[in-house]
Amino acid sequence: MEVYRVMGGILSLKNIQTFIVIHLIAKIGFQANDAVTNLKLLEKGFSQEDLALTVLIDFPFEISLGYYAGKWSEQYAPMRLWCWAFVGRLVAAAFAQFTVMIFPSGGTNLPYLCVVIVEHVFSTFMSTVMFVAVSAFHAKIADPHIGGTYMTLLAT
Amino acid sequence: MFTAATCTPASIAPPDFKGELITKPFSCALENDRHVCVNGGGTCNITTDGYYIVNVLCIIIGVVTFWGFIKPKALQLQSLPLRAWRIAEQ
Repeated sequence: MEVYRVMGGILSLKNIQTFIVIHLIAKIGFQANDAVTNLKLLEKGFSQEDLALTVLIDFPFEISLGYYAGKWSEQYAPMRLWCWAFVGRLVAAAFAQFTVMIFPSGGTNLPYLCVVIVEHVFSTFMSTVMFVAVSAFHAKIADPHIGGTYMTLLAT
Repeated sequence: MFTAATCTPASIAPPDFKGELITKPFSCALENDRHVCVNGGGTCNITTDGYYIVNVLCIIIGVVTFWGFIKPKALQLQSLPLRAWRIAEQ
């Protein structure tokens, strides 16, 4: 019960409420891109094997670049990094739309596959940076006395 | 909602179609209607694709909310002292 009381206390902080609103609104800008672009590529005739390959290539990039994202969020202020990544992700959404638009009429070819991979890596990278940066900020502001509760609440 | 597509019936009835033959054009924007269209020997032509519209809308909303609210607010929150994030000691 004590935990819930603490949680209620955190939620009643004005700053936390503002922060939650930011989190909610921040999702809108790239929601369409995140949810539909892959489906759209499949609908246009991009093969499932190629998509699987794209996601597979994504993975090592995500891990290694995640390390740098962590380093940067120490070097620069986390929310500033988060803002940069936000812009990057909006650009990625526009880039993704462009990628869908130039789908070759003759079906997938190697250059086009490369474009899709670059687009995908860029998009995943930006979302990783945003995630790492905002996690770093959470860790910074969380009260060490009730750290677990605080972190869980922010992550939610 | 944002997609506009028309199903055009085939000029000569194809020999192999599964469903009911399409005789007059209708909207085939929804997945179900599209299947009806293709199965009936018609072709579904997408005139406007809702994906592009929704994605552009989302990006515009993202840009507006980012510079209008998110960025100044996020940087302001960051500049607060850690004390601002503590709940009062009971």
